[in-house]
Amino acid sequence: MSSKLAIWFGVMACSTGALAQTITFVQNGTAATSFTFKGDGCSSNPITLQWTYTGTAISQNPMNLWATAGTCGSGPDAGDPSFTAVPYTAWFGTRSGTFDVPLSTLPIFSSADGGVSCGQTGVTLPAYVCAGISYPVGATSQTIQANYKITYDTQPPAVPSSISCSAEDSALSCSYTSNSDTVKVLATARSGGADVASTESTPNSSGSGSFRIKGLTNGVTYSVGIKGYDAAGNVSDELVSDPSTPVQTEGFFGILRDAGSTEEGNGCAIVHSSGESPSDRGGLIGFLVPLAAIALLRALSRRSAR
Amino acid sequence: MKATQLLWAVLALSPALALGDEVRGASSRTFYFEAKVSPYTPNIDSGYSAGTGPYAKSFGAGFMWLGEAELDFQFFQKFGSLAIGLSAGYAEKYGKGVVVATGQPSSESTALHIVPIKALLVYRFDWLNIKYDIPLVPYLKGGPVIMPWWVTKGPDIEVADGLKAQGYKLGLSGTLGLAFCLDFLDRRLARDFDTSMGVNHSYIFAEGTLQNMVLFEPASNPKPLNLSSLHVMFGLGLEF
Repeated sequence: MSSKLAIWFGVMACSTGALAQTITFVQNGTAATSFTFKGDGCSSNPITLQWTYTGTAISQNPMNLWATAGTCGSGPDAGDPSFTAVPYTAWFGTRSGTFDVPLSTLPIFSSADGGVSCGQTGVTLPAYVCAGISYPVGATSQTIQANYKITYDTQPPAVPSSISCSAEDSALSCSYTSNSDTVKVLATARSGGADVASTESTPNSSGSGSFRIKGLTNGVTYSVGIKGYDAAGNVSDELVSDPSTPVQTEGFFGILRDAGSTEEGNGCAIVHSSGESPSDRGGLIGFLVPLAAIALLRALSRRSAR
Repeated sequence: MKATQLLWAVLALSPALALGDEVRGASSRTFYFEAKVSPYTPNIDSGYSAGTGPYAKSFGAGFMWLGEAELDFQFFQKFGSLAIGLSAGYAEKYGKGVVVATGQPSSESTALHIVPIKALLVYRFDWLNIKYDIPLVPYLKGGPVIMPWWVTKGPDIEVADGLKAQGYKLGLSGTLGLAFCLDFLDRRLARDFDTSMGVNHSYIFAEGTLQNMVLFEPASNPKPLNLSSLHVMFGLGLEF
């Protein structure tokens, strides 16, 4: 290799490496990349964030840590709280550490920043915890930067927009539509004003979902109320379904026995996944999976023959 | 050539002589794998007039899709091949239950699930294919069947009259089939498939299966769930 080529490779390696440094944030002990809390969280314990630096060697500057209500930029603005900087620890390879963020110190609660008082209801305000390491590039300076979003949310999610229930044997099956802010739905079946049974459901990304409440009594009329919960734990008002009355039903086995069969089953244990969706096409899996394997083998064979 | 050299040559060629009909240069055959599918309707409604049986009431006139995979081990290859095999499959059929008080369809689904598992003795008359390149291979299979089954109502296994709707059936099955050797269509690819993957022959096939699943019912169950059937399966087979 000529010396010019070696230099060229060296320059390329350095420039590629310069682009490769990253800082990431997660909540310590979790993989969560954001955090949401509501009013009663201001005075609770601080959250602990874990930063991780990955990349090739850069300057010998410390990593600054601060919080802002706006964008992170290259450093804290006036009034933004700063946390203890991480001193230079040889920025190459993988480095990580943790630090605490007292929620009450976030700038969204700073009167200087036009913030709200901790505990104010009906607001959704984001704040960002920022990390930055500055390093020289020629005559100028650049900053590797990362942020972690913390949201103060005391705004309840909107009431779920629809619910419909169908009567089953000792159960009601319901489907609902919530909104994008809702991460969990709590459903409660009531009869005569008394709560009888409840269950939780997680809506899909479009906000719709379904659940089944079991343990009800056939012939008794129930209504089902659902409340939406957002990530901070705020609760929506309740939407109540039309009344439904579970009824005794028979499946194929009951119909078979009603038709005169003496079949009693013989207790063969079968692993059965509750909640599977009706499809009729499960048997095709037994055919299609081996078929795909055969097709793959033949394709590989054809390829290797070229 | 010296006598010892001749002896070594004969010994070296002896496997090929034992399977003298094999294609020169082909790898040895030991296993046969099949993936197949069938429209399958069990004889549950036999003895009922059309449309009034429990299968028709629950699932209508539609069939179940039965998928099966089978692996055979060939232990004899002189004149055709004889093998022992094991197959397993799965089928399910969903429908609606009924409201007991009215007999009307309910909003709850009900489903029958079966898992037929067979031990098989298989004879394939592939001698004409190997010796004369006639690409048709008739075959016979037979053996005992164990068929676990279960019925669901909604998301759970149904309970009726205090009985849990699950169990297994024992029976016998017999199969007559005809396979078409795909090597006939592209011999070069077939050779490559053997060279690279060790697959000697590829087939498509159709086979009719008669299985009786009430042979071993106890006298205490005179009207059992009858999962017997006569059905035709279609599939792909690899011999390797």
